[in-house]
Amino acid sequence: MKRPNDNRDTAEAVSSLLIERCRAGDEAAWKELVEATYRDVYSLCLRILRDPDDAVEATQDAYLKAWRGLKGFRGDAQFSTWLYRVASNAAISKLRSRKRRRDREVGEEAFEVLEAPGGTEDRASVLIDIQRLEGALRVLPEHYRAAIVLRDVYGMSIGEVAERLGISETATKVRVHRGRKKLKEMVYGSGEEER
Amino acid sequence: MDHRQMQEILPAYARGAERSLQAKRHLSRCADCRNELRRYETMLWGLSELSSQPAGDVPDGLLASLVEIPSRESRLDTVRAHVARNRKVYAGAAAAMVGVAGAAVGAAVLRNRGRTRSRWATA
Repeated sequence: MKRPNDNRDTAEAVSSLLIERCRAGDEAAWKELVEATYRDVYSLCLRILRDPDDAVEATQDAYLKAWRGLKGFRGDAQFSTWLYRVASNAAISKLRSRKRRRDREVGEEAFEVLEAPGGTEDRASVLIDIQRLEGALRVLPEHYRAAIVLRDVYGMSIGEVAERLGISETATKVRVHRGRKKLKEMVYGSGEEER
Repeated sequence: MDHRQMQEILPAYARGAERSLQAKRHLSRCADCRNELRRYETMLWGLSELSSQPAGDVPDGLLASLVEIPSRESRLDTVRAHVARNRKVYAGAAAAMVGVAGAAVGAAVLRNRGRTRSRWATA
């Protein structure tokens, strides 16, 4: 799984020593660990859930589970990978409870086509604005969004995504495939009218 | 491979799958598909870049609520341990309370019956 890679503290910066201190109940170490990781974890939850309040709750659930589960973390996976798994489970679980609460939302979200840039042969049309992509991802229907976020943003395998979403690998592949097509249409337009 | 088939496999092709000879051959002679492929590749690159970008401003108070998880859990553990240690005492107290409540209800019922009988006797 791919992890964030920028100048500020990230989940990658978490050392095994820090984790050991957390396991021993060192609250200062926990604070350090949270400060290094919570922005990324919140971003993951927000990308899946879209709603900031739900993302806050999912982030809190994820860290509570992480604190309780740290003793069971054997270190055979990267800490960031493990933390993202915990966080994506918390976000998907929140997504399911929200679906039960607001059933009408399922698949009925506004599907907004963003204004497409220039013509097919225009090399600049292939360039992508990251903010625009983030915006398109936000309005992608929920069932596609979760699959695309886990697979294409956080680099999970099809098997991992299927496990988290509680669907088969075949269904996951279909969601990812359709999600990419819809997202591409939203960012660049369908392209059909160009032929 | 015809144009429609190629268009259908492009989302997976862009990530390295479905790279058959027929697909490569179609791409070599179809500018539309090459363009679409570039778009998918760029979009997938952009998506992978998102993981290092914040998705939005982190709400105030989130960090503090996460940092205090160990102390909150520790208080909860203390309560749980106390309840576990004194389970028999709490169970006994609960049984006694149920007994007292039952006796009170029984007494009230008996008193009520007594009043009803005396009313009948007077009538």
